Amino acid sequence: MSLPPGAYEALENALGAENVCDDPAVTSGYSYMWLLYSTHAQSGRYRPAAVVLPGSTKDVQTIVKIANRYKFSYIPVGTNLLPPTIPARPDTIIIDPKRMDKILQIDTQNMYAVVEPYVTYAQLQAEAMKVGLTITVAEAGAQVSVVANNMFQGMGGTGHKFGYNRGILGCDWVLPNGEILYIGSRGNPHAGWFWGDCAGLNLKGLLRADSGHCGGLGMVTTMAVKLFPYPGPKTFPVKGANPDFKVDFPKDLFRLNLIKFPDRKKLIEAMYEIGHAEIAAAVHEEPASMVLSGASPSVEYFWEKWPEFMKQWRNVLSVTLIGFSSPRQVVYEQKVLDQIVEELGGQYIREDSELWRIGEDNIGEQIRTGLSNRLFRVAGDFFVIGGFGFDSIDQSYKMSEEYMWPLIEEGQRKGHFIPDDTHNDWLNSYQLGHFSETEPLIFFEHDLDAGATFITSYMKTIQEALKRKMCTTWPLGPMNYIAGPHMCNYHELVLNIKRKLDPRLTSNPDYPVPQQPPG
Amino acid sequence: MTEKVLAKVDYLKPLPDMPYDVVMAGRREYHERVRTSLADIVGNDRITDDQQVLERYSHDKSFEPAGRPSFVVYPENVEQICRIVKKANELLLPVVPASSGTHCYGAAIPRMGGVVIDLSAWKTIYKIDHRNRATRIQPGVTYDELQRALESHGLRALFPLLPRKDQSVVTSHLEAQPKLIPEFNYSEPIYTAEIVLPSGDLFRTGTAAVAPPEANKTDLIGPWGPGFDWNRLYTRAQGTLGIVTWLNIMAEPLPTREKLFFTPCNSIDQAAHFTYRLGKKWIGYECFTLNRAALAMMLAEHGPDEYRTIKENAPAYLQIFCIAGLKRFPDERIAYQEADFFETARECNVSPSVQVPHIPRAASFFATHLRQCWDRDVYWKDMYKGASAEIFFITTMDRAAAHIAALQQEAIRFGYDPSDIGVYLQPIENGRAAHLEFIIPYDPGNAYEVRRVKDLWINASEAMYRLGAVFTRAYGYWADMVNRCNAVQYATARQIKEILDPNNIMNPGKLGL
Amino acid sequence: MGLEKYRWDLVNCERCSMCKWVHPWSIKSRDRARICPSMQKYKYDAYSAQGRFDLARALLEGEIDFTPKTLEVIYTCTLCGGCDVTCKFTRDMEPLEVLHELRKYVVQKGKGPLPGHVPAVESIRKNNNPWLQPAARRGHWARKMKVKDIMKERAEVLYFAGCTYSYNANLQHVAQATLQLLIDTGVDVGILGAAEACCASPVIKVGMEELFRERAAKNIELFYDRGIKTVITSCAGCYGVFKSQYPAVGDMKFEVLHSVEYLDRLIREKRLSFTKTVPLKVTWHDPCHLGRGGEAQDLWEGVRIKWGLSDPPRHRNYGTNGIYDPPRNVIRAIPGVELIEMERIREFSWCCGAGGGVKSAFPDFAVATAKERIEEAQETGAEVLVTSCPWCESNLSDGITAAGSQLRVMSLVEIVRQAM
Ligand SMILES: Cc1cc2nc3c(=O)[nH]c(=O)nc-3n(C[C@H](O)[C@H](O)[C@H](O)COP(=O)(O)OP(=O)(O)OC[C@H]3O[C@@H](n4cnc5c(N)ncnc54)[C@H](O)[C@@H]3O)c2cc1C
Repeated sequence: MSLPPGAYEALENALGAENVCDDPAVTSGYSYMWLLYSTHAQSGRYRPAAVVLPGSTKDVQTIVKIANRYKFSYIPVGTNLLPPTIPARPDTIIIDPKRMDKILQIDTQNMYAVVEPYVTYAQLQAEAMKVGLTITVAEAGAQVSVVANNMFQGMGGTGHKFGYNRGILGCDWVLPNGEILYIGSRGNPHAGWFWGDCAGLNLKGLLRADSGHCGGLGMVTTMAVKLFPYPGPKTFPVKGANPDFKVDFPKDLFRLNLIKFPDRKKLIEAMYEIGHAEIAAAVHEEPASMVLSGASPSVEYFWEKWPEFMKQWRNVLSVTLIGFSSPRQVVYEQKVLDQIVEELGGQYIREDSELWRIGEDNIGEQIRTGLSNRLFRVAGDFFVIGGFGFDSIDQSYKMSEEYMWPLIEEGQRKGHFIPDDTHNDWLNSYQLGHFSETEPLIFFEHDLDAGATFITSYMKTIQEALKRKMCTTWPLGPMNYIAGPHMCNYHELVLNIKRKLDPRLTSNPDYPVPQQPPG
Repeated sequence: MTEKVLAKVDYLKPLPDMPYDVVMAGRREYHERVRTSLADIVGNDRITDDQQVLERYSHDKSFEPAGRPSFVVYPENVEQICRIVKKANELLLPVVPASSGTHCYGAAIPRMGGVVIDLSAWKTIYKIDHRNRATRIQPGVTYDELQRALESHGLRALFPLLPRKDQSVVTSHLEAQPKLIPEFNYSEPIYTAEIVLPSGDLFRTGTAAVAPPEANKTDLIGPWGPGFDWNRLYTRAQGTLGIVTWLNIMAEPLPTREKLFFTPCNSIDQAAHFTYRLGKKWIGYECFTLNRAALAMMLAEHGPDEYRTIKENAPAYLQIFCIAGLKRFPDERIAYQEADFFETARECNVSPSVQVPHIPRAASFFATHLRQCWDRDVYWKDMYKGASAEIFFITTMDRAAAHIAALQQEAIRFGYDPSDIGVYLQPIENGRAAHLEFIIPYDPGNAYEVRRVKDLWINASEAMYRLGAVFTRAYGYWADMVNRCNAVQYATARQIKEILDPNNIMNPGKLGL
Repeated sequence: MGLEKYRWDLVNCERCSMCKWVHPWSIKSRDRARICPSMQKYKYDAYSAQGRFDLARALLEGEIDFTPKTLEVIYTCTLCGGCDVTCKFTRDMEPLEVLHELRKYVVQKGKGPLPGHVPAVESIRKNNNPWLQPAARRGHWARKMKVKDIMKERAEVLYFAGCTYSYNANLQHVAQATLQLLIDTGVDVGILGAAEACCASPVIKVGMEELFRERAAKNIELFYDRGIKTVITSCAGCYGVFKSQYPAVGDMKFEVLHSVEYLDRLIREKRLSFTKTVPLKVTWHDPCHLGRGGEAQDLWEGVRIKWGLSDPPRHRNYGTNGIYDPPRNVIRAIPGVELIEMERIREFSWCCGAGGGVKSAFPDFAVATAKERIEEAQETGAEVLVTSCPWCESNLSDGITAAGSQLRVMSLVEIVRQAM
């Protein structure tokens, strides 16, 4: 856990002593997180050898060059929510962008913002809303880094309208060799930030995928991201007090519908019909566990309500309508939705019901995620089952029913996952129903046994997906060796690119694909 | 040849002193070796080195230098392509894929010779998936063919502006030709793809990776990964990274009713302002702006005189906007969008109408041509003078005026009448960006004019670049222009190319690679 | 059990970073989105509740040893409780308690408090105040006032001035004004004079539990002894510790009110009315110990069972039951005064920077934090930043100097007096 001789001094000289720290009191703050019992418990985790705080792209270049010179590795991070940000080897430093926290520009006309890596969604959206714009906020929470999330999934509540993982425009990207690669319109020094595709070979393709390179190919130091029209109030409309905030959007422009269908198949049909009719801004199957956790001010509250709520809240589709053009749009879309709901035998959850009271903040959650970390409240640890693919709505449904839930039930029988017989996922529509993705939610205790059960189920779902020729997405790090051979050996291409761009393996060495298959 | 040193010529080393006939014999021998190798794969009747045929592939409509292939092959299936590519690696033979009938920007000109793989006869529409609004097609499928097939399923293809009859839909998507509908989610319309890698191995992107379509249990919809965003990397790669053998692309619901509106504008800024506002309201489908020259090129059926009359009568700029209804309550959909459209128009001080003043034919032309290929022999861009040069790039609408002014200045500098330059402004993603296109007609028979327009084209391209134009489709000269100013991008692109195509056989020279 | 009691919290923190921010729904701008002054100043995650959880866990599990930096990380925190609010929105954890426990742990291990804290602590031990002032002079601030001495005669209400209002010549007027107002409105009020002793908040804040318990017990006993029914204080620090920490020490048979609450009550009961207009644009700064720090802590002893449920179930503070409305009611009742709110208010108030022993051990950090609050206040267009806490008042004044601002800091009671 220490750097090669001279390296620390070199970093200090470059950044100033106050911006480099190797004291365990500080580095331990970067060595632990959720899921670690289940993942790093096996593979080992390390305190970083140091944490550095660059203040600029130039600083990052310097750090990267020092890492190459002295042969140690680094992990660029956003807000460190993801396990790949915890060092899995010694001699690794963390590049923490806390000093790079500025919104450099919001172009109202052309709908983009230029941000540094420690700008969060909540911050950016708050500024965007002032000028009639918004951004789709990751369900990971509005407190995560816009830059990190866009390179990972960039998937949020309003993805039905605004799209999935397509938010990146111009970027400044410090490559593992320390050079700056200008992505998109940044490649033309006269152009600015507005566009993401490069002139020439479109290297933006290396910047994002379903889960990005996880810091394995250098660090993006500035990114322009897409903003979208937003017809609502200039500040996020919240009322009430902690922990019972309620959102309060003007109903003529923002309308939440919670619709209960007789079965999941009907719900799926409704999603298709909504997509074909090109209505709505957010469309999600909202599983009971997610809704109740979101409404739970305490774990006790959740468990008191859960047995009954689980029975009541089934096959519920949440549909948020937004009047981008005017209230007329909401009126029209509601009419279409009413027709679809009627055809499929759905029933609106009434606004005077207890169910509505529990679910109504869903509209706030779609626009600015503020509840999702309550998922961890339910049992201590939480994640979604692996082996899900991003494909069609039908596909999401099939994967969930055919093998995901059976595997989840195994974990439930062992008592490691919370009981849940709804078979409802967080199943989402993106880009007006063109894509979908499903996340069966797993709640388990944060201990080794439960973690092991979780990881086993997780891996099994990946294997099942591959065996059944249903594509799996999201294999992180070593898991690529499981998926790769079943998927045109993509992992080898990725690995070759990693080796070429990061020959000394300084940039988060085990990502996107580690050099060796797992032992 | 054991050492793979293609394209790395040591200019300092004296050439081996070899008699001319020996060199020629060697070449002939190589040529024959290539022929037999390829014929072994595709059969004798699917390979040609007929000079007339080769000639057709050796140049195109652009100013790019010619380059003659040694062979053209017409493979029957993917397996043959894989074998050809593998063989090409052995023979260090450049491979240039071609799918469209007409080429415009030099991307399919075999700069360094080699073999052209012509896929224009690959016309299978494998699947029309109404439920998922997708269609999987081979590279030879054209827009008219696709649209005809989709319509019976209640779907529409995402059309660029008046594509050529022989334009490949696959190429159009791969080259990211701008689509007429600026709605956000249509700007990346590729779901999954099958690609023959430069190694000759078969690769599929997104959820298609897990198995070939026949065995694949997904709907081949998921575009992500695996690993990297290959769809993005391969978009606009001009065949330098492999050969796409099918694409699964978006199709959209076919409108049940449509209403077109024409808004005369006296400046591009006015049109841009209106378009921005509409984009934020997120209404409508097709939306684009033409200047009077471009409009006249499209509408004149009877030659230059008519062109001039229309041009005189046309507004400086015309914004074309389409509102449509789908399956459910179509009239009400049109009604609310129309109300919002006119409200916006009033705010922007413009007056849309269902007719173009003084040009009665315009309305019916656009009513039929938004989902159609150009149906006459001479392409609209060429109708005025027989040929045309094009400059297009990505910019923002608020910069369009500056680009146009600069281009007009360049035109004047080169003695070209700026009023004859067509302008096409296509908003992308609700207007966050725009494709701006200039069409510069010229007489191909007039050598002086050709030279002048070529000079204008180069100088104007540079001027646009200096104003911040993003030449995402970096064809020919433009590739050198953008690479010149972006060394790290260029170096990194070369590294990627080296990994995927170590022998540099895939369309070498393109993108500066 | 000390820190051990919180092992579940330490191990289960998922690192969501909510503790570093105002709850996302309440964020109104980029600049005023943070809740943690320590993070703002020191940047490394270690300086957040999340990082201090990691530190505590690593210490408990023997992963790391004490270094000078350990102490710095632990003590560069104003214990403002901002982290506690957003964390608790999502999790059933007790960041503020953990931060307190961590300091106690450090003291138990003989590593704390910091040298910068020692003079104040010793002065409390010796002089009953942290300001190195003789105990005998404590009542001098009221020497010209006609008021009952509770040590000599009974009164229902004790006005507890607190150390800072008692000794700080620049702030004494606040105590005087408040006391006068109570007298004028006919309240049966008295003071303890030289017998008043520090509430001991400064010692518990640096982790010295034993000394705190001893001092708190003495105070409780004294109040009880003197038959006091209501304690009114103008000091948010005293108020906060009376409310949140004293119940753990002894049975509180008296009511504790902050003077702003009492003012509000007087106005509502029409015992106080205003005759003058005060044309001022003001903004209100919620002192941490009046707001989210002013709630009684649950004295829960128990274990975490399956799914992290607490056995027995426990009550948690969400930062919302502090004194937020009373001062605002008072301000709004004053003719001519316009209240313009800052972005971070109530449970999401930004700390003034002085708390938790920071002012004595890390003065630069304290001022930097105050400066940010002053800038935020300035953005409202207010001329006056009103509050009611001697620590806030004095540190925010330092912030004004640092920011070169024209803003004035006033205690609420001053404006009230002007309007009477
Ligand atoms: C409960 C939960 C729900 C989630 N739901 C969603 C969801 O709905 N939608 C969604 O999109 N995601 C979701 N995620 C995943 C989420 O995308 C990531 O957690 C998010 O990006 C974390 O942001 P961060 O700022 O903490 O990134 P970090 O964890 O700090 O970084 C993520 C990865 O990116 C790398 N990285 C960070 N910054 C840079 C940079 N500047 N340059 C290069 N590499 C960098 C890191 O090394 C790391 O590997 C969820 C996660 C959780 C825990």
